[in-house]
Amino acid sequence: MNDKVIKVDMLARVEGEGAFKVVVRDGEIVGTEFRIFEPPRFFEAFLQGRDHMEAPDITARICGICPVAYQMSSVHAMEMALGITVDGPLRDLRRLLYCGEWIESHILHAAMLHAPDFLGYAGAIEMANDGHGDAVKLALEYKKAGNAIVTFVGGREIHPINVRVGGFYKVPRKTDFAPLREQLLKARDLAEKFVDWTASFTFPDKERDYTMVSLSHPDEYPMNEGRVVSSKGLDIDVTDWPAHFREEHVAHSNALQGFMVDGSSYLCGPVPRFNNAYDLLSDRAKAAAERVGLPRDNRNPYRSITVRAIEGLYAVDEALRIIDAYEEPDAPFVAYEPRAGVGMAATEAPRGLLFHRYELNDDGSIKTALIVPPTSQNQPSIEEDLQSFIGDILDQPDEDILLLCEQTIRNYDPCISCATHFLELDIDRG
Amino acid sequence: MTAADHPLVIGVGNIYAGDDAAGRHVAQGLRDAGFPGEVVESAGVAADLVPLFETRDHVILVDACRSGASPGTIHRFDALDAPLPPFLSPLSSHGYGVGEAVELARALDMLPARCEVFAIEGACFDMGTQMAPAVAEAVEHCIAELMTP
Repeated sequence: MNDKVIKVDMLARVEGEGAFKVVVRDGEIVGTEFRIFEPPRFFEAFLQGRDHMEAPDITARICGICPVAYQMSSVHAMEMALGITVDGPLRDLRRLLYCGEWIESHILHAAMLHAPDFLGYAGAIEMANDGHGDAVKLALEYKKAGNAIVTFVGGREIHPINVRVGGFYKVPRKTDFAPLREQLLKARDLAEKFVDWTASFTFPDKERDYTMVSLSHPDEYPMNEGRVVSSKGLDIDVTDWPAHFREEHVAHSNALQGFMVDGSSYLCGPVPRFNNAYDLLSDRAKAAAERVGLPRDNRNPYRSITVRAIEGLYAVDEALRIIDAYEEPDAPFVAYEPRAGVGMAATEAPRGLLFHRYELNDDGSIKTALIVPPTSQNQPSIEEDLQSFIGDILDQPDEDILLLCEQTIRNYDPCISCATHFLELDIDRG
Repeated sequence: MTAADHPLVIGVGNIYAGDDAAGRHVAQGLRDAGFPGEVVESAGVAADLVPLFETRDHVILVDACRSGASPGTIHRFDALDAPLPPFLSPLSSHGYGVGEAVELARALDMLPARCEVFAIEGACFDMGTQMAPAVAEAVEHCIAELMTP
């Protein structure tokens, strides 16, 4: 039993197709592989030669769960290349749209995909059938508020169509917001209860000293814009990204893996945002974190489920703040002339930092495109978590090891479709 | 008769993924043909489908599937009768599709009084491909059948 391979050939409750393998020799873990075998999707090559205006709608197709993130990173990068600034109500509307996606994505993952791990069920259906139906109903009702925002601002629920370089195709009137505002006020109570529900779970007592990377903005919880910072002292302009981060191809994965330039791993996503920007959460979100005893410097990745719930509450608060302050802009978008240029941007997708870089030709067509999704960046950290967290349970039945591995991987809400652009578990004990 | 007197038809799928677009094309075709009830298109995430069942007496879900039958075969299921077959729980977003939506709704006591599933057999679900002719024919067949009072 000192040598073995433990593997899962197709991980459930994740977005896309992936697998995992742990190799054990003489009772020690000698290798962990998080394998993404969903075929590469070549979006970056596909974008070459297309008009810059097509980027938000094409890149939104990379992911059915976080299309807004792709739209936001692409439009911000294009605007840098074109030398235009989008501010005021248009900028606020973008943040509102992003709040909608955070609610949709966080609640879907936390309630339907991750919570069953903590409560010991195979999935949400078994969980709902065994006394947790009210919690599932609450989550479904709460998530509807996120969908409502995306539909309202984005034009439709799936793959919003209203986002364009320079702003939006159409903007709402102040008076149009009333029903959405009412729905969000009700969602705020659900969001508070949802935080308490996730915090009631039992969390594995495991932590690591991650390098936590997120955006940083002086006045706003990280979302649309800011410098790129880490818990280990990094503080750079987004244009310096290529000098500090790199992507590498590893033989066992169809997705590139992201590293710091020194080859070390880092963590992006809700936990780094929470730790790096706690003070910028809404008062209600901070009070909820305090109420449930979530430490400000949380290094336990399993508590990410509660961090997602806190960020959901924050997103509801922030959406209400934006709606209450909204004044209709003079025009739905900032006009500009296409030109050659280079632009890059990072925004905070629900599961972490999403970097885009584009080079444009004189006519505004795309010369080169580079997209670095959060799951690519988190892959090395996922492998290190598994290496660190399962060593003390190797003498337990493979089934228990598998469950902990899957729960660990779901801490990341990995989006494999984005990264191939998830999971099989394979423990090799010789 | 109002829209509420007719079934809600939900066309599920990915419009850009070959035969997976079948359900979406049925929804679009029904709209174009003036279907008197409400028609919704969905990416098929269970968490979004279940809330659509609320307050509905009759829901018809149309999705693509892969059971091994010949492309274009139309399978019909009454969700109230029995659990749906496993091939209706495909690897859709986050692994939660029409099959899970129906079972989750059953667990939450949210299934409509009538809930039917039309599953159109597809073969190729690759991104950027077109629907196969046999699947397109099945789409037309579903539209014609649903338009018949």
